[in-house]
Amino acid sequence: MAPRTKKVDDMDLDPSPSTSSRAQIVASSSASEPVDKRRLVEILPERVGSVASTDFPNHYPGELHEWDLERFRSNLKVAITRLSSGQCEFDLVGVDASVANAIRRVLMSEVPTVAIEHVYVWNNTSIIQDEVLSHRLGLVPLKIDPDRITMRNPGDDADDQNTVVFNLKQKCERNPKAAKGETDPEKLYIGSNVYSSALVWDPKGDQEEDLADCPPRPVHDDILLAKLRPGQELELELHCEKGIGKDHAKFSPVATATYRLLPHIQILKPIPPHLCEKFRKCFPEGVIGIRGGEGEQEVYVKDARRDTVSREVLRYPEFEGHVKLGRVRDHFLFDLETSGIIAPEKLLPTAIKVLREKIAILKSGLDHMERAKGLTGAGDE
Amino acid sequence: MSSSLPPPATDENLHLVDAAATQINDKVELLPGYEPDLSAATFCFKAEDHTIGNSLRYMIMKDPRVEFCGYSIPHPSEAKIHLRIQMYNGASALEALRDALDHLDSLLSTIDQAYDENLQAGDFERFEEPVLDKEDLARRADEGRKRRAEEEKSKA
Repeated sequence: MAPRTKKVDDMDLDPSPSTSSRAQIVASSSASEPVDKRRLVEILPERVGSVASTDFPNHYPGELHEWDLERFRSNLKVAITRLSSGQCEFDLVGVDASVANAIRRVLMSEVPTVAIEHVYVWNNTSIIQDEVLSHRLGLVPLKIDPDRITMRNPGDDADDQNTVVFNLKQKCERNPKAAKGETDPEKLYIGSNVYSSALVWDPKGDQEEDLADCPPRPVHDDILLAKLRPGQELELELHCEKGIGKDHAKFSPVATATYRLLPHIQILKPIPPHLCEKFRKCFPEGVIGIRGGEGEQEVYVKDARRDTVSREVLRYPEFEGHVKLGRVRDHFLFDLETSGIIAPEKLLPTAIKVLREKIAILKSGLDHMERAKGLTGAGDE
Repeated sequence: MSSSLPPPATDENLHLVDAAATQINDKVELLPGYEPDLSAATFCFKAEDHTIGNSLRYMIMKDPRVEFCGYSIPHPSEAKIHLRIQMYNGASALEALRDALDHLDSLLSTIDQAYDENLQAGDFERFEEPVLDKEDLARRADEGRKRRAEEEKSKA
């Protein structure tokens, strides 16, 4: 990739738009290939420089940075790098920090899920207080498709469209077959540990058929909820509702959603061979590689993506002027971990859907305001 | 858009619009002190925060007709943002706001498309989440218990 130093107007558009393969993106980002100086956030010894993005109209005389969907589409690169059943890591290149942050914020607090909201305690003779047990139950992730359940608004009655009911009933008894002198509670008592597997779905109304293909159940069966001893009993009815993370963190579909900016290491002047090893040790393992024979060793950037930007190298006067640290302002390395309710590869599309709905609501709100103020058409008050 | 969106509220169908949508009636307010031709205005969005505020501000700034755009949150305890837009040459701030909302929507749909294409292509590393080996843990717990029992015996 040639360094981009031309004006934005006659910048070469990437001939193959977002179809650049993951391998290409990973390779060029690992090697810290030169990028346009304007895209770099400088990490200097005493401060961080060039933080704000400058691609606005009228910022650079003679350059137009107006919004252009086609130019955006050709510069945009989205590449998933790693995927498992619990985690998704992907690169998002070419968007502004405000949009990447909006996606992250929406993922954590505005993507709706279903969780236990009301707990009706018929019987709780355990040592765990009602409210403590209810709090723990609320945090149990439930594998219920949020799109099948509607939000329950204040004043609505609970019906089969907006509520899912679980029952939790467990009693602890002494195990007659336990050995004498046994101390392990698992062997001494039957049903002493209440796990999330004890949550039993109670289909109401049409739910039996509607939710037949994805019956509601906890994501994990082995979450320890309470401990009982013989004679203690739990009988609870749990009502689950749809909500968002903003209301209570139990509704957040992500264990955590983070992103970091791609680190960028520029070696300005070659490092003398006797200092190569010291230079390499300033960075985490695998970031810097050394090649060449005895006495002719040179240092190169092997994988900048593994760098944690500890700025250790800036501490040594012998490396002053040899290396320039930075981060690429519009290259985001997202790492999303799901709590199990929504598949990790579906997290981003769901967040974008929620964001677009917010924009649609804003547009309707604007319509309403215009009508109310009589601003449509003539535009005079 | 998704079908769960309430219908746009008009004065006639207000009684049909459900509780969630009364938000729409209350969503945007034009703060007093706007220019008569709306070339400069401050909009107040209720129940919004930096999520929309910052990204909308970015998109409005990308409009060359905009002289000034900034947003603020008057008080962190209240979910409101004030968005100030000032235009060159008497252009309409309302129009710039609408255009920016449209552009933001197309930006998001472009990201969605690109992500979807990439997901379908399937060119990424798939890995298994490490699973707790319960038998191994139980075995170690048993060994530890035996060892401790022996230590007790030897001390006694």
